[in-house]
Amino acid sequence: MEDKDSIDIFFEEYTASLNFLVTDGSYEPPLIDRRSTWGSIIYKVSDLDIALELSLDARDFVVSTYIILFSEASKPEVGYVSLGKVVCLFLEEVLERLIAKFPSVQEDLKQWRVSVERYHKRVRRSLKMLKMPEAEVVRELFRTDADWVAHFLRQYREEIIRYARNYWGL
Amino acid sequence: MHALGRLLAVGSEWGGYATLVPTGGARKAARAAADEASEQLRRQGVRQASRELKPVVIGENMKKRVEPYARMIGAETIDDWLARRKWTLELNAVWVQEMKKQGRRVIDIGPDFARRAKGVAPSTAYGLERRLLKGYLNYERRFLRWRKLRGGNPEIDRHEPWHYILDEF
Repeated sequence: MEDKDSIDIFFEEYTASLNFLVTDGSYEPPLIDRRSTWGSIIYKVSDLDIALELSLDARDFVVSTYIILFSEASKPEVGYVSLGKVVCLFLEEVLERLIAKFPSVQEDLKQWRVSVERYHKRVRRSLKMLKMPEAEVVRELFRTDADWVAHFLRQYREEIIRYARNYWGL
Repeated sequence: MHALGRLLAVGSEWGGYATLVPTGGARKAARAAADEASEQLRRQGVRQASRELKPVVIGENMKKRVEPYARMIGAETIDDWLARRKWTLELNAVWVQEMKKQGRRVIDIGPDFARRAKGVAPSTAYGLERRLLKGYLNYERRFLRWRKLRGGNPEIDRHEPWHYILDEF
């Protein structure tokens, strides 16, 4: 990881995998933000106060995927909670709610964890030796995760949004 | 005035300018007194600096926890110090040492238990910060922990873990 920035790789891989959200018109073009230690990509659902957020913690190479209440959770001073209300849900926990209706989600979630963990192990090994991981490993990690996120959104986008609308009463 | 007293009054920082040159045991005692005076001045300086400089926040999950919390309490994070430079583990360690040198108050909001509960491993960078801050007097812990995967900071974290904690009692 000498010359390539993990945040740049993050932007490249996730926007490439999730571009279909914008091209079919159901989401607005992504809002991209970065600091030295994190990067984030937000895809807001057109005409709804709900968005998909991908957030990279660049210190650990961990990408968290959230479904957020856009007007609240996109504020820089807001994290998981705003005025006592949860405004940020993990995509994973929303998908877990869909298992009863779509049993195949359970196996997909398991596969998602396993395939991402394979690369994460290599990243952690480097960090433990106080070395930055190789750019190619980081790219594979992000690409694998981005492909899984894209898979879930292709398959269950409507159900995910429906769950979020009910959760926030929209 | 006694030579030792004179050195104490001046302080070791300026001890070199003292015209008196004690010998033997007196020199040893003078050096010890000078060191003590110097340490007192250093501590005073650090205390003064920590009153003037903003505290810094550490913890897991920079975007969703550390930065919002720092903004909420008017503190800073490593991002303010990095000022858009590329993050590295080495710079992270330098930052911690720098904050200690400045005598900054370091507020620790702890692990992101919600993320850990999803199977995410503990952060290496945060672990490094904790190790470097061991024994630091201006370290302030602002999170609770209940077993391995439960706890957090009630001001910033989601409520579910708190319900679990209450369930245990």
